[in-house]
Amino acid sequence: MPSLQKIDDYRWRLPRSGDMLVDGVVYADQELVDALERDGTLKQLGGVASLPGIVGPALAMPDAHQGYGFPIGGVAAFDPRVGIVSPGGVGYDINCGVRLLRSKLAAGELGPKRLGELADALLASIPAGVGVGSQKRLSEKELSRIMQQGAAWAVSQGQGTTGDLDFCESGGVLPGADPAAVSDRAVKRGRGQAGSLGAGNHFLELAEVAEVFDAGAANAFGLEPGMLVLWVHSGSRGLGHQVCDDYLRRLNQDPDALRPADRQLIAAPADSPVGRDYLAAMAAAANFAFNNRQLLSEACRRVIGRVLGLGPAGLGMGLVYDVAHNVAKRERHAVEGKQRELMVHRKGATRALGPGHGDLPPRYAKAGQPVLVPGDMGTASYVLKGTARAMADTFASAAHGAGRAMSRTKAKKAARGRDLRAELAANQVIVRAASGKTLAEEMPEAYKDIDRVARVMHHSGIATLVARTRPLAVVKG
Amino acid sequence: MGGGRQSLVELFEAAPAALAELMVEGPRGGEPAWLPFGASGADQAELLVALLSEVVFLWDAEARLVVAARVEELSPTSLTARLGVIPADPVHHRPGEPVKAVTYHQARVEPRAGSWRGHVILDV
Repeated sequence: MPSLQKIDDYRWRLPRSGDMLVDGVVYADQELVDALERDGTLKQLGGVASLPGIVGPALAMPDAHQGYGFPIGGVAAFDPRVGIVSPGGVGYDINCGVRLLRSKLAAGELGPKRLGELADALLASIPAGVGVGSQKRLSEKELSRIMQQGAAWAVSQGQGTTGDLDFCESGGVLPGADPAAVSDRAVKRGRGQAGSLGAGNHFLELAEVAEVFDAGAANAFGLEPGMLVLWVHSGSRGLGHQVCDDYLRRLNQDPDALRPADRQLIAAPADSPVGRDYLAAMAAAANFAFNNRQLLSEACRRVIGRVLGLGPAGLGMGLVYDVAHNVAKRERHAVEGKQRELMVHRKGATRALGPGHGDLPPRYAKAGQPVLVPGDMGTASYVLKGTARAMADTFASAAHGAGRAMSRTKAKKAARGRDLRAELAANQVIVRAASGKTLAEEMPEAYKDIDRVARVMHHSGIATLVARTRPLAVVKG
Repeated sequence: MGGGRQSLVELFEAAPAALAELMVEGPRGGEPAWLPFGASGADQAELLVALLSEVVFLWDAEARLVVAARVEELSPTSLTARLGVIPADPVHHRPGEPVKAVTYHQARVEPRAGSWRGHVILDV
C-alpha cells in the first residue's frame, strides 16, 4: 500500500496503485493520519477503490477506522449501471443512524437528582440491550407496512406528527423497499424489536447546548445555548443484521458475485437480480430503522414528560433532524461538471447536503442540512451543517461520530479496575447502562477526540460547526 | 473469537457452545432439544461463519441457547449438524458479549501444529 500524500492540512491522497481504479482521499489532520496508518483503514480504502464501477475517489471521513471489508467512515459512489452494490459496504446495522431533538427546557434547571431520575426512567422504560425487544410483538402485516413506510408508520400510529417526517433524511423512508426480499429469518428477528434501542454503541443522551458557533444556522435548527436536547442513536436491530447476513451468504453462492480478497467486501452488480434484491431488502431494513428511531424518540418524549410533569407543549421537543449512517442510496451528484445518478455507499458516514439542495426542508434551505455527529459519552457531540464543498468533493458526506480509537477488547482491558460511572459522574455525566460490559467498551478513551474530528470537518469545509453539546445523562444499550 | 481442537469435527462441535458462552452467562442445565442445521460454502471458514451465525439467530430470534453441537457430515464445502438448544431462562441467563453477527472478515479455519484452529470476528 503506497503512503499517503499530503494535499493540505486536512486532506490526504492515497494514490492509485495495484488493483485500485481510483485514488483514495482521506480527511484527517496529522494526528488522525498517524492513527490510520497503524490500523488497516488505508488497506481497506484501497480495497474499496478497487471495486468495479467506482466513480471519483474512495473517501475516508475524519472518524475513519478499520471495519469489516469497508472502513468505517468510508464513502464510495458507483455507477449504478455498471458498478456494484456491497452489503459489507453498508454494514450489518443497516441505517444505524442518529436523531436530535430540541426542547423548550433549560438544561441548567435540571439538577443531578432530576437528571438521574430521567436516566433511570429512560432505562426502565426503553427496551435496551442485545436481543432485548419491544413490549409489543408486531404482526407480520404490521412489520411489512413498517418496511415499506418507514417512520410514517409510527406517525400513523400516533407516534409523532407528519411534520417530523420533513426533518428525516429522505423523509424517513427509502423508496424501493420490498418486504418480499427480506427473509423469514430477518422478519422473525424484527417482529419483537421495533421501538428498542439495542446494544453496543446505541444510546440515548440528554445533553446541553454548550456552545453555538453559527448563530444563524443554530437559529434555523432551533438550537440555542443552554437548551436541553436529546440524542437518539439506534438502527435496524436484528432485522438489519439478518438482511446483511442473508445477502452475504447468498452472494457467496452466486456465480456472478465479485469476490475481493476480503470476503466481507463481496459485491454484486447493482443491476443484477441479487443486487436488486439486496437493495430492496436493504431499503426495507432502513425503513425499519427510521421507524425505530421515531418510536424511540416518542417513547422518550413520554418518559421525560412524565418525570418532569410536563405535556408536549411544555416540553416542546421537536425533531431537529434524523440521519442514516449505514446505507447505499441512489443520489444525483455533479461529477466533472455533469449531474450523474450514483449509488452512494456510506458506511459509518453521514449525508451532508449543502444549502439550497432540493431535498432539504424549507426551514433548512439557507443553512444546509444539520450534520449530527455524536461523540463519546463523556465529552461532547456536534451539530454541523452541510456545505457546497461537501456536495462537490465528498458526494455530500461527512463524519458520523468520533470513530473508535480502541477495539472493544482493548477498551475492556483498559477499563478493568476502574469505576467508569464514578469517573463520569465526577465529570457531571450521569450514565445508566443495560450492561456493565457495554459501559467499558464504550468508555470515552475508546473513541477518537470528537473535537478534533469536528475541527477537521470544519477546516476542510465538508461541514461547518454550528453547535457543541455536552452530555448530561446517558443511557447505553 | 478463536480456538482450536484436535480434529476439524471437534472444532465445529465445540465452536457453537463456545460462542453461546460468550453471549450468555448462566446455567446450561436440562436436556437439550436437537435442531437440524445444514450449510454449504466455498470453504470451511464459510461453514464456520454459517454455523456460528445460527447460534446468534437462535438466541436473538427464538430465545434458544445453543449448548452443544453434533456434526453429522463435514466436507470442505458442506456441513450437516444438529444443534442442542435449551430455552432462554429470563431469571438465570444474563447477557454476556452483545454479539449481533458473525462476520466473514478474516474468517479462517486452518491446520496448525497437529490441530485445527478457527478464527472469526464478531460484530458487537
